[in-house]
Amino acid sequence: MTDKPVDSKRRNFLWGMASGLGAAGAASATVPFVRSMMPAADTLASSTTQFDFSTMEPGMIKTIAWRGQPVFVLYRTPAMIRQIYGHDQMLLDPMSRAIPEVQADWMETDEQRITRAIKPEYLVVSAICTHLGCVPSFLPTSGRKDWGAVVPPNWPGGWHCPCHGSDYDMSGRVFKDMPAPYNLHLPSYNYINDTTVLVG
Amino acid sequence: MVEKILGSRIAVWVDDRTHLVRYIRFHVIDYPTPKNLNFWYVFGSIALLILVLQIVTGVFLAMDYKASAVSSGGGFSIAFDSVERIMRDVNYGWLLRYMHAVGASAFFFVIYLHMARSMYYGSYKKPREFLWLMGIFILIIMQATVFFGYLLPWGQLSFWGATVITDIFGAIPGIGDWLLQLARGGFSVGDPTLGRFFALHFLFPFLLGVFALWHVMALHVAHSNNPTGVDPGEKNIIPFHPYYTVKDMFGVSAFLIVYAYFVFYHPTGFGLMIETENFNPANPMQTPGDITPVWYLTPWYEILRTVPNKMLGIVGMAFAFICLFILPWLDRSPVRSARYRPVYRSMLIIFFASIAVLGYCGHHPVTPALTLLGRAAAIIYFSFFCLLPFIHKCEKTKPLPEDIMT
Repeated sequence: MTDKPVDSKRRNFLWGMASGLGAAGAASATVPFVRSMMPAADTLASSTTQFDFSTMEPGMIKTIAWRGQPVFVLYRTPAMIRQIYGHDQMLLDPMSRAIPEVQADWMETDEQRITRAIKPEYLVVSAICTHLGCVPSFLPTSGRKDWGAVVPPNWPGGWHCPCHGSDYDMSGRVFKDMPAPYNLHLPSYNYINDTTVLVG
Repeated sequence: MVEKILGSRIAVWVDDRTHLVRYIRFHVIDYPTPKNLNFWYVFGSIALLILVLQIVTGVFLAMDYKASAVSSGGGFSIAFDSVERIMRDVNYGWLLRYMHAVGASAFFFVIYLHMARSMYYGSYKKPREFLWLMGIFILIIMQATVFFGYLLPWGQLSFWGATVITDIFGAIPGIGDWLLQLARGGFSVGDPTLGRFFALHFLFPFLLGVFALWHVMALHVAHSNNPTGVDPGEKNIIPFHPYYTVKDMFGVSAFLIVYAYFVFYHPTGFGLMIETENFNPANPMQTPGDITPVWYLTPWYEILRTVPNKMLGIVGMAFAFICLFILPWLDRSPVRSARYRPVYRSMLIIFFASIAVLGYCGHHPVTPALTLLGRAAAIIYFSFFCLLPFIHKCEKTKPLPEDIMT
């Protein structure tokens, strides 16, 4: 024991170092816990899904599962393809340029940006509403005749989300003034033969 | 009787070593209470009872529930099947589950009345601001708890409700995608999500218990407000036991009659407490025609969906809670109780009505008319908080009573 007075500066320094180190240790100890909640290796092992359009009649739509998420595959008739045109002024992002997820590297011409498909008749588009993740309902005929007031009066045909009322056209492009901020996302896919796509 | 037990040699022995009897005396026997507390003051005790009921029924349900979204064939899952097994095969499983499901609704019903009481009699004001803050915090933990719990039966609304709500986190700029994966543990709501939701649904009620006890202890420091909002004075103070223990037991009995009526005769609460759609097993490929949260969450959900912009909708919903948090500092009137504040009283009634309208709209499918109605109600909701800091300037309050008993 010495009679020297307490060096409070030194003591505060030690106190700060010790508690700082303790806090840093405790904070880093949370890393494995948080990491354990992120997708596990088997979940991440990305799967692919094949779909053969020749199993469908023109005008048919199916919902297929890719990575556990729904994807629409739609065999568009020539009439359905015509329904894509003529309402660009009602759309939020008619040329699909807003974010990478709504575009694809094969989109070169304006035509492809509008039809949003490698082959215009075969549409492959995410079935997840970009608002809060519901699966929109397919309301293909134009006008209100079949759907009533849930769609706008000059409805060109497309999808309507039952959860919060977002509307998408026959190419999955979102209408203006909707809760959904983006067009339906495009999963990456390519053709492995004339009619079969490999999603993922 | 109570004195005999608390004065017994064993109680004294325990008290000498733990102060247990002293805590009991301080919090439930001697706690000084104003004479004039009316029936609005029973909901705190009832809420505490429901919390205990929920924990007890929940622990017993957890013995037979299996948190697995793995398919059991035919579109069903192990989790969905285990709930049906509880309903059909487990002895009194139906009773435990219905008590738990009805209890969740009862909990919110009682807590909303408890909050309405606090707002009406100005109980959130100084010196009870912290009690109010804790209360809103408890409400948020409750909402998280039911949100986790609602996924467990793995029905259609379980799945899609969880999808929609976790997607909200995904909209937060920068960290959204990371948070979304953290919440779901995968690309979409699935088996990993169910596992973590079950664990958290088990944990959160114990957090609720801790905060509820702290809430009660804090009340006993700040002391109870009363319907007049004025200081009761020494002569109008009575001990909690036996006066309010008996009164609360009466309130609890009345509550249990209504609770038992629902548990035994209307366990799904006419499709409000267990929604009809949720008897369909979860199907990730097909959104049900109409996704609505359970009734007690619909007002907040409606605020989210009336805003025609994803990010702003989420900001709006967050703001609805922030407004509640800062309520004690928005209200600047020196008078507590709405009995003597005619302007505040009218505003408050309109405010409660706006929440009811929001809840109604949030429970029905989107139509243009309901969207307009919901927006009007949301504007009224926020106007209440915007006007509150200014009304004390023009409000002519009624004279306060000299004595709380007059």
